Amino acid sequence: VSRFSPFFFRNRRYNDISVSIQEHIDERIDELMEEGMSRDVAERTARRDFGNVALFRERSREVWQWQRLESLLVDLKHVCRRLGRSPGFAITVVLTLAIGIGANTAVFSVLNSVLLRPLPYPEPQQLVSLHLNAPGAPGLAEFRNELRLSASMYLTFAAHNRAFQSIGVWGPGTASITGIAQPEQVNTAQISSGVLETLNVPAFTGQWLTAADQDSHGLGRVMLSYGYWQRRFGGDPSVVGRTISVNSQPRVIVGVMPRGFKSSITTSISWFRWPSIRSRSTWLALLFVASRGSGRGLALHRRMPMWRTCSMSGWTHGRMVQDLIRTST
Amino acid sequence: MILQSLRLKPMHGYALVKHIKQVSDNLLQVEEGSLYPALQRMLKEGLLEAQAGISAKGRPTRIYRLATAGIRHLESEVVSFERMFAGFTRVLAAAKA
Repeated sequence: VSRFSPFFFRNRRYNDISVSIQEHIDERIDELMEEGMSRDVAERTARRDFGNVALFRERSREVWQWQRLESLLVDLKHVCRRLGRSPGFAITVVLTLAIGIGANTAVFSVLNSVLLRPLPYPEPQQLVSLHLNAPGAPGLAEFRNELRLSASMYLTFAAHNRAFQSIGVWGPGTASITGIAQPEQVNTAQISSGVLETLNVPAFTGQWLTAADQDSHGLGRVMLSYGYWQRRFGGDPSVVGRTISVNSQPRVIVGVMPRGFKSSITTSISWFRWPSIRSRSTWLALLFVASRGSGRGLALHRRMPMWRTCSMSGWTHGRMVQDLIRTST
Repeated sequence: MILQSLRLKPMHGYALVKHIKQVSDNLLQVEEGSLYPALQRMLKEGLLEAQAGISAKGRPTRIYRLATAGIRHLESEVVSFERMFAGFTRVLAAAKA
């Protein structure tokens, strides 16, 4: 009850004001009539002497009001009444506003994630992406005049890299996991040496995959995403070292990436595995990290979303282009 | 003026207007309607208290009474006004001399 007491209290004040003013005017009328005026004349005189009754009553009430808020509420009530009288117009206005706000929100969300928000990696400004433009290569280049990246191209770039600290490629895929409860198909990211070093995000538990895992005759180890680790293993830290069956092949889990880590290519990566580089003819992404302290770089091949490019020094950029030309001739 | 009048005795609105007119020999004409917003402001500030009562004509009304805070406020206002009035007097006396 105490929450509503101000309203009752205020209503009592309003009533007091009305009673006081009414009594004032009545008493004045009585006095004027005692002086010999007729009732009509006395009433007119009393009201004239008092002034605008409604105005003074309102001003007296305003003392007890939150003026701006109540004015806003009155305006809102008025708007609602007007809109209620013309529902067609109201629906049009509401839909226009809803679509406008929704579209703006969607556009901003995209702009924010693509352009404004920094990549969720250390020193994101040093990551750059590279596209292989080939405008004069009909048949080889696709419609955007970009070449697909072959495994041999990547290996050449990696072997002759002097402009970047590290280089890596990855591609999204899927795999069947068996041997744990029910079989499941999960999204995967296949990564080459250099990807984790470039992104520089430490493992949540366990360790990174290493260059030795790139060997097609190696153990074939994998890393799990945080979400998959939580969902299938209940966040059990002893999962590191266990063997799971991936596409009917035994794979050892070496580590788990931290919560929220994404390769930014696929958003629902469940785990990583290390494929044999030479077993694939084309790659979907190319990843660089600039060398010699000049900055890191990330290069993405076609079909991948363009993250952002950093403004590298002319020297580094020139060296990188020279390296690419040298390796391609 | 309102506080000083109510210090003499509690009054309702119309009685207050009449009292000020009479005491000032009609030199001070209170705009009757503007009395009520002023009374409400004083009520809100806690200078006055209001209670239901009956007027001299037997009609229901609200009787205004000076609160303790109102007495303190009145005294400080009177001191301030007297000081200002003394200043005016001295300036006028100096101008005549």
